Amino acid sequence: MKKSLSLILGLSLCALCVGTSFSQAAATQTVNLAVNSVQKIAITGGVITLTISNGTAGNNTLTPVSDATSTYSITHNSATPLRITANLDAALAAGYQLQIALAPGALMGTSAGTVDISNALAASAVAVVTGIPKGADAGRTITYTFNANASAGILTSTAKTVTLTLTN
Amino acid sequence: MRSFAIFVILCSAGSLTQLRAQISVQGGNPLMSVTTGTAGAQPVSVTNAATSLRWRKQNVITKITVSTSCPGQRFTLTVLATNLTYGVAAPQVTLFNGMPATNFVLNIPTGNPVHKTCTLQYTASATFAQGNSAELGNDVHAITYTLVAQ
Amino acid sequence: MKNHLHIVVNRVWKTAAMAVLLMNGTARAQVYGTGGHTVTMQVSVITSVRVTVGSVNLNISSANVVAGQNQMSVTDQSTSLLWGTNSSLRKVSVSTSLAAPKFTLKLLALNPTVGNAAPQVTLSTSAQDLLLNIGRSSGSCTLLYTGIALASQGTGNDVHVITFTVAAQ
Repeated sequence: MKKSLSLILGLSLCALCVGTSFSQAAATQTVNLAVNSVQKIAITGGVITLTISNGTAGNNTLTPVSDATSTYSITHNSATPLRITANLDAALAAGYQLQIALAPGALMGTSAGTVDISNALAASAVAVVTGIPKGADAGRTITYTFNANASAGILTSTAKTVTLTLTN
Repeated sequence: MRSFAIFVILCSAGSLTQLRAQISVQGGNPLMSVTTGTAGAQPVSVTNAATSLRWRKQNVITKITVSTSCPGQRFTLTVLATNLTYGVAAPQVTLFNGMPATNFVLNIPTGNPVHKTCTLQYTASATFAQGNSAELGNDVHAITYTLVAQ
Repeated sequence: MKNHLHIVVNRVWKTAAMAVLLMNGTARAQVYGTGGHTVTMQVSVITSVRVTVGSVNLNISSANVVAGQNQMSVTDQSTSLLWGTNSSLRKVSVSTSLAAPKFTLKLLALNPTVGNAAPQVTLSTSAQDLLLNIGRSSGSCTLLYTGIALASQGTGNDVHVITFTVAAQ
């Protein structure tokens, strides 16, 4: 009886040896996913031409022209609401005025309305949209308005670069 | 007729005993287990050198051949003669079911000592693709070493 | 006629005798003895899996972002998974230790050398299929991680410990 028991035990141990894995069946890898501060703004529309060629007799202020063909898009994830400022690379001569108006999407900031940027340079950029919460806003209209006084004379075609900045 | 039959059987038994006495395997029946493997590679082969071959000198130059019977063989087993002082070891032999007798030790001289030996070095290996014994069973090789005139 | 038959029989006999002599001389070497034993070979269930690099960093920054899109993403395929299994019908499943991630982490097995890649999985604490039909094989695949965040979710950091397991299919 004792012998039979030993044999059965021996066979069971052998079966365990075959069935048990001596190897590793799992592996681990650490993945760190970090989302850093993101502030992106882009403009579509390319070069815009604004030409004044009309006026009203008796008025020094010539008939203004506007363009609303360009758009802006933004994405940011800052906890603090951001704003968009606008400026030119060089100021306009006296008697000429360039205005800009941005139209943000619902709950994506407050527009400052139509803002004169004729003399706004990098150091004196003016806010055009404020209180922009984190998130994205795409394809929002930019409206440019160009004004001139007849007394300022003829302005030969001149290029001005408008810069929109998404900032704190 | 009955007496003749008994005589024949006795003669045969005697002949077999004599044949076996000329060459024998020492050390029993090894069990070889492949248990580990590396991802991206293959299971690690295992080697067993716990058994040996012992044979008597003959009056002519002899050799030893090896063959195996392993029905349903799935894995790979090789054998090599090591620690050989008389004769020349053949290259490692891969043992497969139904193989012809294959040279194992060659050029065994006629001189003393009366008994000569070598170590049987077995190497067991398997690929992941060949599976495992839990699903397929063990390979059991009945290995025969034969001492013949060269 | 009788003489001719005698010659033929004689030639056949001589040929047969020569054949027997040749057989004795070549195929039947003197056997002095035989010996043998039994060698049993056993192969355990072996399963092994590993990654080539233990850590992966996915950083979403302005460089990965298109203005106007709330969804931001980044990918990494710098690491690989290697496995070996001698069992049939096996698969690789994957899970993460992070129960409540702030952002989304997805994984796809790219270009497996053996088996079939499951569709891209969004990692969770529940094991999900990554690779199928890898039974009795040794192979590898590229791990394609995709991290996804919404700008409206703000900044942050998720640390996942990803576990790859070879399991019965």
